[in-house]
Amino acid sequence: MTETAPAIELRNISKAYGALRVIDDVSLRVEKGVFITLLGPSGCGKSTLLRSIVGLARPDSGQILVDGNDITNAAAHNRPVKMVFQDYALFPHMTVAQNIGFGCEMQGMSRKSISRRCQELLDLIRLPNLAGRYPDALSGGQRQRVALARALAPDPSALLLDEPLGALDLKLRQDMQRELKSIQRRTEKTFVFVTHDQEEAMSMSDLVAVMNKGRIEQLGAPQDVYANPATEFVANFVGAANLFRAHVIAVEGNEAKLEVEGSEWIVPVNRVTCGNGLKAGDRAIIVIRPEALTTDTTKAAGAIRITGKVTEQTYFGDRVHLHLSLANGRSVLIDARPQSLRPGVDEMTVECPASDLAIIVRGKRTEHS
Amino acid sequence: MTTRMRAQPGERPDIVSGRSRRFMTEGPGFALLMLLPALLVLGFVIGLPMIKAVILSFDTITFRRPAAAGTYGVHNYARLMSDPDAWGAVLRSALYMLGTVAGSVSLALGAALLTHRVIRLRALARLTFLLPWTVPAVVTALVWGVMYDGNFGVINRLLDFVPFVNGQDWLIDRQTALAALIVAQVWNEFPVAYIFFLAGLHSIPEELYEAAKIDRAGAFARFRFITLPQLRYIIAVIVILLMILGFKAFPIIFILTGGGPAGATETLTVLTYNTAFRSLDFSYSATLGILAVLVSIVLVLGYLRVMARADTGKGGAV
Ligand SMILES: Nc1ncnc2c1ncn2[C@@H]1O[C@H](COP(=O)(O)OP(=O)(O)OP(=O)(O)O)[C@@H](O)[C@H]1O
Ligand SMILES: [Mg+2]
Repeated sequence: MTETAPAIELRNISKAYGALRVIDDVSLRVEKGVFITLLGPSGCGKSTLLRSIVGLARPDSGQILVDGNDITNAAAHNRPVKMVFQDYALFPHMTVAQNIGFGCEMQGMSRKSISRRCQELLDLIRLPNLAGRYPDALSGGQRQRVALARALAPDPSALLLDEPLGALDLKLRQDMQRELKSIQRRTEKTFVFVTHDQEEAMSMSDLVAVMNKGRIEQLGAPQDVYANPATEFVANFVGAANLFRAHVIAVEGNEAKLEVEGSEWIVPVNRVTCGNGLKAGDRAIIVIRPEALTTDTTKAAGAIRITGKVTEQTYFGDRVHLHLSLANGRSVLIDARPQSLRPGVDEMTVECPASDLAIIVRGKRTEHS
Repeated sequence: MTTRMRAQPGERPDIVSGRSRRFMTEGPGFALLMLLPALLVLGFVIGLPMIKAVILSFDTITFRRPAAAGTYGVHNYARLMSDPDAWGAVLRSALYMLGTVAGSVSLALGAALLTHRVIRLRALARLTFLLPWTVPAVVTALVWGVMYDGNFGVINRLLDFVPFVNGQDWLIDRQTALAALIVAQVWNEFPVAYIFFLAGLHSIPEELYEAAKIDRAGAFARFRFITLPQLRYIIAVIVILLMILGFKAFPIIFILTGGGPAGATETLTVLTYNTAFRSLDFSYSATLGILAVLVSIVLVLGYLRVMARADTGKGGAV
């Protein structure tokens, strides 16, 4: 039974601070050994959710299970999960070894096994010679690793990491992302990682849970979340997106005819990301990623074509960003190869293969407007 | 030599024309010049009385032999060496000092732990523990004098309700007098430590406690492994400050017992006073005063040492 139980299971967790619902009916299953990331903007409740799991905050309702055991009402020090804090929270008056060994010591492990465990972890974080250092004599990246080792030392069921790389500069951050991922792979631990950096979430995770206003808006593999955003918020928050408001005129077989900001588009029905398909009269949002738009028009059947004036070109070396202003005044972002840069060109047509767009259904038009 | 420094373009030649001038306008001499008024005042206020006291301690100004005035020598120091009253007073000063330090530190730490997380009635909670500090030592002494009174003091009246415990003449009994004084002193001075501890507790990041909690540290372990080590410099500084305060303490002892009964509470400060103004032996009193100064210097050196450590090793090894 417990063999197959998920590492962490949240059932309808809610929490409010006063009138503010910080976590709003969140349910989540995290299988063993998975690297899952909670991704969301500042203030969406990521930290509160982590703190609830680890026992530093108490949800108002719902259940928390770890390895199949209900720990909803267990005290923080009795939970088999550990947490890594954003600003490390290393004990400044203890050496690296004492920091790492603290949890084991509190568990009453023998001195000998503590020091063996310590050395194991120091090797794991590749700082084998820093056992006797004090935290204020470590660099930011080293502190972060020690914090990681300290959390891993008592061999927790799952490790929760609250923006652990937030305080590091970009280069170090990227190194640490790789390092963290490799440690996770080697230890085969369940990692619940929190970040508001979508690239970080994309590059590290097996699963991404996109959070907004205390809810999980979408849970899926990074590629899936990126290609098939379930909501407008997800489309906007994860990567850049061009959003077009549309409403469904008719659905015939595999294709739907949409009215999109004054023009008519034919789109495949199977590009609906969520819910039970399109019906005539539905309102929808079409998501087109900037890199899905290409300047090499193939005149292929079924491709969406957009024509507009180039208002801005930004050169990035390997990429170029074009801003296209459409007849109806709205602007479209295109992420293209530099070869497609055509100086002097004023008007331009770009196209998007119908298979590369995503359709978010927003319900009946009459319900809203 | 004076021509070595040529005026640089842009510098005012009249300022850099001579070395001595330069010394007085921007070198160490300038600093001295600026400090001079303060040094003079300090010299008069601290230096002169000190020198006067040292001279006095070698003189022979005493009511018992008025004619001997002006006879200089080390006789007062010789007398000090073999004076059991003096060394008894040093011992009592030490006891008083340790008693007040232990009492104040534990009371203040307890009060700070109790109140630093209070949110509702926070001001009231803190005011309660700060209030004794606002009471002048003289008033403290008078109030405790009334409370300790054997017949109508509130302490004995309260003890009437406790079975098998009898009231005492707290300040008249040799066994209890010093302890009674220590209690009054602690009541008066522990708020100093309380404020420091409160500030210290607030400066400990909450995350350290959370991290410790997650690592299975219970309340006592968190106190032992986080609070105490994080406060260790503040505690060290406070202990030495309170040692100095306790060693110099005078008004409470003087008013409540004046050193009695039969010298049981005669600390070095009180003995110094009594020697001067009861025995009218001014020179020997000055000698006792010099002894007190020497002890204070040792304490201050300890204080400076701790401060220096606290400044350099904020979290690291010591
Ligand atoms: N102890 C608290 N009391 C009152 N409100 C709180 C408390 N802790 C968090 N909040 C509120 O709950 C909301 C969610 O906070 P939380 O820290 O979970 O956000 P977050 O997603 O971690 O944001 P960030 O990315 O900035 O860390 C915020 O609006 C915050 O102001
Ligand atoms: Mg947070």
